[in-house]
Amino acid sequence: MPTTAELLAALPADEPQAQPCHVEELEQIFHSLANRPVPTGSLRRFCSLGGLSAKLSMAYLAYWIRSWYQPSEARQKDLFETHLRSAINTLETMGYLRGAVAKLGQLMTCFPDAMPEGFVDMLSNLHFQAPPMHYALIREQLLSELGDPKDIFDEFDETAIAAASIGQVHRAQLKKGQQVAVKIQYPGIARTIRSDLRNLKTTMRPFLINRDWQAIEQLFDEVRTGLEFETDYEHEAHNLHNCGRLFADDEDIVVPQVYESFSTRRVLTMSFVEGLTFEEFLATNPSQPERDHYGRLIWKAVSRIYSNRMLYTDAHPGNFLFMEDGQLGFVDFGNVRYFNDEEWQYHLDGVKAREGSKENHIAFCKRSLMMKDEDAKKHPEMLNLVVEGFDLYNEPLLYEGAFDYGDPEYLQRMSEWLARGAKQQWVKQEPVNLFSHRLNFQIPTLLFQLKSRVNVAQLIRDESES
Amino acid sequence: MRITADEKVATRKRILEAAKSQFRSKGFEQATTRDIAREAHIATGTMFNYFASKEAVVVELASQGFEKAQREFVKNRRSGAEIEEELFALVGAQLRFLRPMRKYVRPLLDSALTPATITQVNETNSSLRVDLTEQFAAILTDHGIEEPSSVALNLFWALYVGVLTFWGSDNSPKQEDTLALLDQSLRMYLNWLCK
Repeated sequence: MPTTAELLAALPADEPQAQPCHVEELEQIFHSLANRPVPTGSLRRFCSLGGLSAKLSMAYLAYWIRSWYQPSEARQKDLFETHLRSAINTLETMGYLRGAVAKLGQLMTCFPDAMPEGFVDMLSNLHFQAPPMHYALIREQLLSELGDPKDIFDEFDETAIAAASIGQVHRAQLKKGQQVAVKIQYPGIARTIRSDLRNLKTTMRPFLINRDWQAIEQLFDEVRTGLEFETDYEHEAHNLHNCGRLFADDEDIVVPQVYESFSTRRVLTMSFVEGLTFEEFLATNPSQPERDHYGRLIWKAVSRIYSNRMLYTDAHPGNFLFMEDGQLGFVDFGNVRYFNDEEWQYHLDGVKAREGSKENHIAFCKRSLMMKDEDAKKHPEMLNLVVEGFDLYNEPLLYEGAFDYGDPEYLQRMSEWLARGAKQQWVKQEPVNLFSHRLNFQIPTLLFQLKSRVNVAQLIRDESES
Repeated sequence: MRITADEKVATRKRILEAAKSQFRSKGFEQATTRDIAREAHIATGTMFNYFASKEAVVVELASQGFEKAQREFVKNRRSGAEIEEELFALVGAQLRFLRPMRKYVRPLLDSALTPATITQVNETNSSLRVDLTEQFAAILTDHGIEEPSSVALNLFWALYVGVLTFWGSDNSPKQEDTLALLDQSLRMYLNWLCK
């Protein structure tokens, strides 16, 4: 653990845009976080927070910690030192940062120059690794949650077929012959995450004396709520049910069915979906028509959920399966956000603004930033940046014809825009934007890897007519 | 009147059932040998012919739980399981079979499972600790650790008793924190042992 003096020396000065970041010091900080051993007797665990909310929110958090230091009287300096150490310590004790924290450090230090491939690499690799569970532990969890596995399953593959966000997935067969996927959570991890997030919030509070705490608190709560939902498999079962019915008559998209009798908060039993993973599919060197086909299905899947007042907030490659007959398996619904009436109206207004004039764009963007007129005058660069981002995100939706996501130019512009956005001082925004913006970045990233071309405008028209 | 062997077995069984009932309803500290004897329909003095103290009753109840755990472990043992999994499976089974007595695991720990060195023998509990130690050592040996040193066994014993102590006051739902602690502790121990 670096000394406080070293940490402070690594922080930028007051004007974030003027000072270069101390790359080596920051990497050292995050590297030390990544390699710190688990303290004896601690219950801190590895955990996988599959949602991108965790990844990006931690990146923002790390950036905010850097930018909050302000030189002042000695007494205030001491206060800031104390709180900085406290915040760093809290980050350290969140064991699920391990493994990916080094990547976070790299992201923070590479912001202005990040290439799309770098961001893509970060997004696809920046997942936290849950500790693997041997079968004896799996069996204890099943005994605790469902009863003796021998009374429930005819067969149970003791080797996991996939890692889940905070657990792992096993293939099994129920007594009546149904092939199922059983997701089992690591014991105690849900409570650890909730406790850690509460602690982190408490740690952050005194540190933000010069910031708009309420706005950040709202955003933090948004992230926290999403993460807590991800730890509750009953919530995921509810999401599977709500989203699954949207594709019940769809021949192209398959959503697993939940077996509620064999599901609890910590165990989720679903129908087994057979297909290639994202990496396996790419390894087959698919043809362009195949890439376009699946790209279109991914867009369709996410879009249809959105049209039904839900936001699928984690379009991670691991959540899609490429099935033999051209169907797309759509799995993992741990983080689905439901729009309330006010949020839904906000999004409908965004759709109208997209199709409206430049003035409409600006007005909507001001609203998304929760800016009053005087704020817009004081922070014109922030407003302009968001208007630029609004146009950028809507580009594929307004493009007539097949939009080529495989062209790195679009993702490059998006990455550069994100880098500029991260350096801004304005922190207020509609909380729901945190997730919709993330999805707006995830989809192009995913389709960039897939090298898909999708006629998004036509797809949206077809979906609205059906 | 001479008491038959069968009657002795039946009486012993009644005492144990009565003790479980008394511990459950009153807690270990509040339950008395008089209460247990009364519920078992025997004289208090008679009870001492079978068990010298409440603690001795707890040790016997625990021994039964450990035996069931060992039988389940052997029955469900699967080929190819790594040493960590096997140790976890055994201790996990023990925790499950001891669950009814979780609230009074402390007297068990104090009387029979102290983290004393393995070479120290206590007359009243040598059998239980030796049996458990032999079970753990057998798993180590099965996985190529021939004749585990006394240091290795003592270290494991300390870890084991630590987990049981934690479990005794673990208020997490279904004591899930204990499972996580056991998993992490075994991993740490075996990383050291197998270096």
